[in-house]
Amino acid sequence: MNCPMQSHETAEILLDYCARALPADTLARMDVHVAMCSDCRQQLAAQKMIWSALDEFDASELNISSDFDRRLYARIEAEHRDPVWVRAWRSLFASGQPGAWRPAFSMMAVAGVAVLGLFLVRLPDAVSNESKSAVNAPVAISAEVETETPVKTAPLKTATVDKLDVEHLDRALEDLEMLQVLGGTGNGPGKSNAL
Amino acid sequence: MSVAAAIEHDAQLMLQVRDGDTASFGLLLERHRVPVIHFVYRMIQNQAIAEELAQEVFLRVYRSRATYEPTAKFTTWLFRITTHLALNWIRDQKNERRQQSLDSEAPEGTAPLQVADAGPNVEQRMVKSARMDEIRRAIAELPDKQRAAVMMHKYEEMDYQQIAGVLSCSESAVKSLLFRAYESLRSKLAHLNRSVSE
Repeated sequence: MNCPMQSHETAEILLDYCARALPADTLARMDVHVAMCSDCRQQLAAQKMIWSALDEFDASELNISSDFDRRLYARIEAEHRDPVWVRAWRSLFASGQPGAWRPAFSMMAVAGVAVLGLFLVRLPDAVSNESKSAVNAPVAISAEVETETPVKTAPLKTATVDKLDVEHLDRALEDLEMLQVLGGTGNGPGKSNAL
Repeated sequence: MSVAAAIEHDAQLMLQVRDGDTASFGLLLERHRVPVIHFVYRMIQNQAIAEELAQEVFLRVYRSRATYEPTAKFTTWLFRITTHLALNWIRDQKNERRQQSLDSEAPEGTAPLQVADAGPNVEQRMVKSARMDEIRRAIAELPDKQRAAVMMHKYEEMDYQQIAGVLSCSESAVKSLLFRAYESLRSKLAHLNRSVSE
């Protein structure tokens, strides 16, 4: 047989060989090959070392809290007491039907972007109106107000709004991307159930 | 119980949960509590948070009972939820760290080096503890998806198809993830092998 180490693709077979997870005939051919190939022997030794090192990462010594189940059931019980609309909202995202939440989420995202866009488009107008009214205002206004001109505060406001909204949008898009990745191609029970 | 029977048994239990049998949920919890907690613990290396996330996993399983359809292995579905929550937590931690600009010496989530108790094997215990710390660090430094793939392959003994189902990618992508992860671990932990042989 060809040496698996000669090709990056077939080198993966060594993982299965190391785990003895190959069909019997392939395993036998690999046994013969490894006996003759020093590259493969070296690779196998390294892989075995990794496996034994990972064996040391033993989680069985972990003492799971004795009240784990009690806390879980308490949370379930608490959810049962939630108002109907809260449960409905939650089940929308924990539903087994991906189609149930995706359109709602997409529509919410689109509506959010539209509102944000409208807000940002109208903000400069509002600011300019505000500055106009400030200019037209009676001079009797206190000196403090005069010094705090709207022209100065407007860019600050816009920058803050931009920063916050972009962060929220970023976050929402990341979540959406993750949900799509996890629910997109699988054919499991409800794909992204409970996600 | 054979593997096939166990798979069918899980799906059957979940269907019973769907029909309102909460005792079946208890049985599912009994069967999968430890693997889920161990998996999350190995992913994030913090027991308290591992338990919290595991609770969230089972809570989501329970919430989804009404719409459950046994079209794939129950464990694939269960670990998809588990992996999603673990990866989200890791991502949030990274974002938080980035925002706080904290630059700790040890990777976040790595357990602090524990000082061994006094006793006849103090040296051995310290060596083991240091070695363990190296292994944990090497695992923690793997990219998130590679880490998840290794945990499922090595500790949950899942096959490529099942890992692909959990990570929503192709089998060849899983093989590639695993190959790169083990390569990375080999280079990071090679000195452990040398220190043993010396």
